[in-house]
Amino acid sequence: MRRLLFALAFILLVASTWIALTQGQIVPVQRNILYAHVPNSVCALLCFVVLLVASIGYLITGRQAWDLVAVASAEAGLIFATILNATGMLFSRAEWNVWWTASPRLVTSAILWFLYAVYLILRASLPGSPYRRARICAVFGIIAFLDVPLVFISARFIPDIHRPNFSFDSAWQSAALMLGMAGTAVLAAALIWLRTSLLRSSIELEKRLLQ
Amino acid sequence: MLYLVLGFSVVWVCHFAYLFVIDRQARQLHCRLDARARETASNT
Repeated sequence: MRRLLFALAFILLVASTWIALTQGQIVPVQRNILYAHVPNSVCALLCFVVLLVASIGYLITGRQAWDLVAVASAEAGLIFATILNATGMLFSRAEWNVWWTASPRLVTSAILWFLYAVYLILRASLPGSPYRRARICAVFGIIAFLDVPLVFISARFIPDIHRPNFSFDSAWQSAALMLGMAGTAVLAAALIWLRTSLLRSSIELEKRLLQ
Repeated sequence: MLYLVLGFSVVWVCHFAYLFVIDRQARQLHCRLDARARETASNT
């Protein structure tokens, strides 16, 4: 099933790239970074939603499975947030001739990356029992989620160099973006699933070795 | 064009780097499982 998900993600991303290169090219050419930037940005935010749900789930039920999903989504989210900021900087340099500027959307996106990084550092460095660590990280995950609505609304309510939304010239361009978003979302789901099962296997092995 | 190529390169490098990390962890886990199985077999 996981292989199927990875294959589906690959097919969707290849289809998106093919349409973007043939029918859906945006002029000027550097704006085509949008096809990489937007899907990964959306997935970075979606991973935070998964982190929030998993953190709440852990605090309510105390089941370790929720905690493992939270870690996996934070790791995947860090990858997507890294791509979000890196492609955003490249687009900014190409379009506005600056690598980075202190605009609300760019600042909140940078904070998003740092929050993911802090979550993982906190997780790796907190002393004490794994249950205490999981509980503290779950609380941090819930509080850190406050940045997600800020990223979403920042460019809409405060004057910003970053556009709040964009419109395409043709249906092909929209199709390329939608396929890219679907492919990246499937890839995110597959990565979270794979990492969760790997963490679960690792913990089970540790338990058996201790017996 | 340079920035476009750089942008897509960043995407592929990040995704493959993470997949490489996951693959390495899976291999390490596999090695430990093998060692555990050998240890159990030699004890019995």
